[in-house]
Amino acid sequence: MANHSIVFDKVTKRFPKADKPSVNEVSLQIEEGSFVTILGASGCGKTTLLKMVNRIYEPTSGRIFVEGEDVATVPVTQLRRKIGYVIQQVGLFPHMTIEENIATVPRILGWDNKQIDERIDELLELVHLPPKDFRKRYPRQLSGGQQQRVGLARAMAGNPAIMLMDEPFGAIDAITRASLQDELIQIQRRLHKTILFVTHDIEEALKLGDKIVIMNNGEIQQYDTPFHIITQPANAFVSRLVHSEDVLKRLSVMKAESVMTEIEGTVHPNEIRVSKEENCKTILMHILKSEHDSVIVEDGNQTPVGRVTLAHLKIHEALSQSLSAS
Amino acid sequence: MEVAAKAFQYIWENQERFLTAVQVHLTISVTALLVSLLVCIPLGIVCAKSQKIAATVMNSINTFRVIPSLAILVIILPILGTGFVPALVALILLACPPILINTYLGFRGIDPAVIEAASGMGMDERQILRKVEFPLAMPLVIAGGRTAAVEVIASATLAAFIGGGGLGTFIVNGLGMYNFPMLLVGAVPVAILAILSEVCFAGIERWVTRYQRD
Ligand SMILES: Nc1ncnc2c1ncn2[C@@H]1O[C@H](COP(=O)(O)OP(=O)(O)OP(=O)(O)O)[C@@H](O)[C@H]1O
Ligand SMILES: [Mg+2]
Repeated sequence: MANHSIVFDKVTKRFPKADKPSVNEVSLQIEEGSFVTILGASGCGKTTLLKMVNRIYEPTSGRIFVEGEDVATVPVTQLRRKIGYVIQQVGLFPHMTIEENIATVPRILGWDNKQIDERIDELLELVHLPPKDFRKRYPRQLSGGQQQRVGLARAMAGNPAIMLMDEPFGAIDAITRASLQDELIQIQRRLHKTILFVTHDIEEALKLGDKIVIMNNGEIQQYDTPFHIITQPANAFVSRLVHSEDVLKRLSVMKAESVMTEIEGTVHPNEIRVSKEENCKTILMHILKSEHDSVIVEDGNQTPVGRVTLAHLKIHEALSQSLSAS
Repeated sequence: MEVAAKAFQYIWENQERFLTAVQVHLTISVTALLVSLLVCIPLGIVCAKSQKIAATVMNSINTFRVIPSLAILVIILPILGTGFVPALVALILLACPPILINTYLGFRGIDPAVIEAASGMGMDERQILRKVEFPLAMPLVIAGGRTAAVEVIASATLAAFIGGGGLGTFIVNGLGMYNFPMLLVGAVPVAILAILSEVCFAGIERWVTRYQRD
């Protein structure tokens, strides 16, 4: 269990007076440092599942382990101080400035003032809000998207290894949302947090998750990588949910790494270069715009490691289509 | 003008009596207000957290509220007799409803998301109360105190009727003797005290709501 950050063991939650459980016998293992999205229709139990991790709700039966410890045995406040929590409604403290909001957990943890001060600047930079401009403002003087960023910064302030996020980008326009998603992906790459991220937006779940939990009626339908969810949906529900007939959506969850082949022949100086992590939808766009039918894939040190051609994309696309059809 | 001059002359000639009256008036008002704050703020918080208690308390308060202040003084009379203490009790009864109701509304009105965020970050109940709920409910609590204070200062005048002393004594005597200047000696300082208390509370209110302005 060493490298499992969060483990659900047959967890059931039935609210008083409810006729059926909101979360039913869920078992799930979240690897340390992974970004897991929880996807499902409204009322399927996503929030309930999430809130049992930091004991805002107590399970009716079953156990949850965080970093190997049964959460029921850890004092609630202590547990929560090491888990970052971002709620859908943001919930910034309206009577506190942005810096005071962010300082909340570090103060509870008893950090010294200088350390807190540096932490506030660091976090505001991280979420692209210039500290000079924003530290002394009150939440109501910020736009919705800026408030969400502060919410994120505040949740990360105590440097928790685990983050729980409940539709954090729910009420935001598409453009701001996309940029917040990109920021979150980068933050995750850099800081290796374990993130549980609830959403009911399929694109968002596919884009952000290393793995996706698909829920329906309080039960897990599939827990897998975006690629497998799209290409091998576990059942009719999943397949309907991700309606796999969309070519571009399928391409967008394939990474360059998984499609590329060895470089044969010479590399043209003006052949476009992409990173291993780049998705195939973007690669297709590059190819359509360029004079070449291929792109070069590089690793982190800008060393070419492979090539993706239009023909590869066609083959993989056809393959995944036939997989999902079967 | 002549009336005002006579009133001043009366104060000049009865300085000690006047100052004592002001002092008694202030003491009885401030004591009544403080006691009400100390009792009603905690009670209001308890109500805000428990619907059951809230229903009972709020209903009785609302019934009680329709009784005019003079009537309360008169009702107190046969129970507690005359003097400072019965007058104080009556004033406390008057000051409680606005403070209690506003405290209740102030704590009930806090966005539950804010509380969830606070507890989700690992604040314990006391920290949430002190750092989040109190500051957020404060503007309404203060507004309740403001209403109560003016009501108490004005009604303390009536305390003279049951022998509580204070500035009301001049008014009662002035009325009884058809002495208009003496009536002013009581009435004008009461008006000034009421205005001062308004100004004071307005200042506190501005201070606790500073985060709502740009
Ligand atoms: N406090 C509660 N008391 C009783 N029932 C509840 C409570 N919270 C949630 N439920 C019920 O549990 C089920 C799952 O709710 P939950 O909030 O987990 O859904 P969700 O997947 O997060 O939905 P959404 O996408 O709309 O936020 C729903 O049927 C809901 O009515
Ligand atoms: Mg939810």
